[in-house]
Amino acid sequence: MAKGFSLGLGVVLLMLLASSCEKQECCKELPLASSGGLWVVNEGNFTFGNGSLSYIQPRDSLVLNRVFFEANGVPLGDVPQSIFQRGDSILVVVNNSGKLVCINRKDFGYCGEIEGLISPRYGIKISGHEALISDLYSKDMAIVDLNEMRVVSYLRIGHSTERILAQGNYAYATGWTLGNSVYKIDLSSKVCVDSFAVGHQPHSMAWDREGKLWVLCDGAFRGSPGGHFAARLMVIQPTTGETIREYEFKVLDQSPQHLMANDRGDSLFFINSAYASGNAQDKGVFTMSIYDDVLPEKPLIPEGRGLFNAMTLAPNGKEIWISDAVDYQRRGWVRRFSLKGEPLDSFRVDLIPGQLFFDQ
Amino acid sequence: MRNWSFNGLGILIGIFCSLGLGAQTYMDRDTFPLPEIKVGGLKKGEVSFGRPYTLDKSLLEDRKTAHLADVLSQSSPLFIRSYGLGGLATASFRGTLAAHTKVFWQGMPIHSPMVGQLDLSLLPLFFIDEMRVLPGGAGMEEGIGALGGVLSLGSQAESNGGLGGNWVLERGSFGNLRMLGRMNFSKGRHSMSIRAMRLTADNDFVFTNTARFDRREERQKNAQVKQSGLMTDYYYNGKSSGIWSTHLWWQKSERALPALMSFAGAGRTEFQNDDSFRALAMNQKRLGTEGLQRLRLGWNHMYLNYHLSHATPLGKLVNYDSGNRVNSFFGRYDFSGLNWGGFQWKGKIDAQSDKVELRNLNALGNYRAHRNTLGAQTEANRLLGSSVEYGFLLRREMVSDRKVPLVYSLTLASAKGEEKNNFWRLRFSRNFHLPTLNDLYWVPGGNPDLEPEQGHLWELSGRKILPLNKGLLVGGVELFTSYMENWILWRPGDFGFWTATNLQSVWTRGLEFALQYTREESWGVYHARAMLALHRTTQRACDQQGQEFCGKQMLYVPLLQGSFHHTLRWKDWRVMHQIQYTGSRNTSFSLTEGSVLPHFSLQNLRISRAFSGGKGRVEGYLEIQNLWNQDYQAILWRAMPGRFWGIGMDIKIGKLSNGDTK
Repeated sequence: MAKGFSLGLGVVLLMLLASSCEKQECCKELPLASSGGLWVVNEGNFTFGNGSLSYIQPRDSLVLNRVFFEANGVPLGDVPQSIFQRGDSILVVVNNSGKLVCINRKDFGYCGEIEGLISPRYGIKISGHEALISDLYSKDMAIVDLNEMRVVSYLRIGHSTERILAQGNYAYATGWTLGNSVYKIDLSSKVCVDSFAVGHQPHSMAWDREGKLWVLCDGAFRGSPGGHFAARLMVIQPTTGETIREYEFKVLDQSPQHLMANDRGDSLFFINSAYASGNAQDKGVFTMSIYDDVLPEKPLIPEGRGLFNAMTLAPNGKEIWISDAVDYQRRGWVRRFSLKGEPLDSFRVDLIPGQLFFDQ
Repeated sequence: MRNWSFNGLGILIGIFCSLGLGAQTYMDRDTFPLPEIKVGGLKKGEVSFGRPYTLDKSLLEDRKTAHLADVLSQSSPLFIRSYGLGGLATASFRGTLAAHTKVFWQGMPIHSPMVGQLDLSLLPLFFIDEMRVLPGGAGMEEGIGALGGVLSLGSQAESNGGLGGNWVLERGSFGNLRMLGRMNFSKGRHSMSIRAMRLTADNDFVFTNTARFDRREERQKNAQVKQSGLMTDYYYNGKSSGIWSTHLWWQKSERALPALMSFAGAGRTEFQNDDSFRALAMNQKRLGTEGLQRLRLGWNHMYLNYHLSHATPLGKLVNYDSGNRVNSFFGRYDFSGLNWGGFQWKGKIDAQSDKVELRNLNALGNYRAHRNTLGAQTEANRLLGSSVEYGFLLRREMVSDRKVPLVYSLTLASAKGEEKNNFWRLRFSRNFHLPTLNDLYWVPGGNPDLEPEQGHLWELSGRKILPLNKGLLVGGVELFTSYMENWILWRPGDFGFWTATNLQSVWTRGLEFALQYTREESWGVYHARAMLALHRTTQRACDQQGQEFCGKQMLYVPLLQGSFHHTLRWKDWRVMHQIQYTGSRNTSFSLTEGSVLPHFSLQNLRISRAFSGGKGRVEGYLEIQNLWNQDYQAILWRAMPGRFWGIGMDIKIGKLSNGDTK
């Protein structure tokens, strides 16, 4: 019996001893990225700090997950939200870490970061070295210098902002959370010069071939403190803000998001997902012509048991790429479909894949 | 690798000390030894529902300025999920959730009915005179809902006559200042104890930020804590009318909440303020010749204010500012020690009314809820011959918004040995856990359709006492397996919100093993304890959606935990050394390589010297936490401190607490 106890004690102590032999691996060699690749922003769970970046090279069916961590040995941050490109680097907007992280497009190496943002969401390049960043919690947009990697000034909007689209000398930003306006920004003077009243919670926008601005207002969701309204798709004259046409979604629970147009600007795509539309029927990716009088009733790509979180169109204009967050707990998928909605293939990525961005 | 040799040295010292000394020690017959437990013969009722392990009084003495979370994480098989110094800390028994651990004070539940748990970093050890840890089926003694277990706390007043006082002043790293004071008074039929505490800390420790590219040394920001508390216990011995007592506990906490290590933003202010007031009146008197009956009436009030705002160039933008208000009224009548029909009986009737309100100052997600509970419980056990005992427990509850099936446990035990100190025990229990009010009604994400969680638990435990040449070695082991249906978990759902859902089935099983050894010599006392816990908690019978993580360890449940604690007392000197090990933990169901937090081991050291004279005693002490300056994270990307210290003075005058006269 005494031997048994001694053995037990030994096991406990050895186990404690083993605890000190900790090693941390850092910085693996990764294949170099090349043009035509797809960047996938994996949001991870809010406040878990487990967001990541995946890279897919469709040509070779190559998937590299957690490339930033593997290349640099540090996490990307908490809830990376979006991505945009500038020359040889890409910039990842990390929402709940309040920063913009610069990554080398070729080897995924860290090339700096801009700190001090509040709750950044999306960014666009507005000059050779400047970018405009929207913010969920701030009523200003930040203007950042990508050479000096710092915030240089703020642009007063008066409401939080979400998606941004630029055309010519103007940028347009949606005032999504509890808002009902699209803000027009003069990029020369860096001043918000106008705001256009639209539906409740304008989320995303797209340009059509006639230079009209399409605005998708998700109407919020059941139980939303600002009220729950029918979603609307609106066509705006960007110079005046005049509403040219609008479509109302018949089912209240439908809260469509992620509006985008094809490269010709004659077809629109949007997602009606469980993310925002709860148990509404007929969820998935919808498409319509800009000349249609009514909204599409059936999805081009049904969501099925997936959870469509974002999408993009391939540069060749022939494929729809969708990020599927599955159930927000397991690693998600990036799924490729033809423009007819036929599934082509799928790539396993990391937790809660969101924005997709083709390297150009 | 840096600390390999240091840890090894500590352990080797422990081994040699352990092997070289004899023991006169005790181990609780129910589970593990945190305990100061007396070895005694088998008595009626002691095996079936026998004493759980209690907090070692020497530990209470040594760690007066600590909080319950600190002591449990270092000395028990409970896993304490801590968000950092002064931050939220919750307890998890045997791989279950924090909401499955229920906390009682003087028999009154003090966990929040909104979240079903209590933040253990708000419970100062100085306010606790006794603590019982009731794991698994033993927790049903207090009521239903504790699928993991129960922490039962008590405070007392001295009744040994006269006036006594105790003051502790401690200064430590990171602006830590702790002041504690206690006065005891007793005369005739009256006795009273008043305690006060004040804690302030900046918690601005420096850490290597491994979440930033340059791995910079950073000072923790926004982690300051202030706590104040006051407790009074008053007893009146009414002789024929029994002992009457009142217990009041007020506490206030203000703490800033630091951001994740990867945070690089600006203007963020996040804090949480907790206020609580608990009041309890109790009468206890004899029932028959051996029995005892008690009546309790209590009120538990809690208010939590959470605030998140950002300073923007246009001014301050408040994102959340919420107030959670809880008012619980409680009453219980219980009796014990009744002999009838060859059985020894215990029973209780209790009622509770919970009113809660969540109010967001910016009108986001308010809710109000009300729940009434009425319960009746009986326990009985019987001795068969001289060495076998069996017993049962039955409990029925009526809850205003839910149906609760019958809860029960069955126990069979056998004891052997000259004093019947070696025993084994088998227990089967069926328990339920109602969804918390937040699970049901939180906006957004609450799910009114949730089913109660139900658990079936088998426990097999044993103890062996082995006399050695110069002392006593005690070993205890417990095996358990538990199936829980409708396990409630918050996970992301429709509309992008986290929502409460019933998982189909969770299986927890494990092994807990403990050794304890004490030796008293003319030159002093040596005491050592080692504990190892192996807990496996997995989802089973998953639907198709959940197949991927079927069979995988649940989040933040370490497979392996252990601790080694030893103390040497020599004349007026006392040295305490602890090693605590926490195994790796999954942090996400994605189960990628980076989603597993590595294991860590911490060591703590305390050295004290006492000076006695006249009617008083003064003890000076130095304690060092995280002795070898380990880098670790208890929760992913939450910064934890390296080595830190505290130096203090403990002054006692007159009649002192815990029977510890000068």
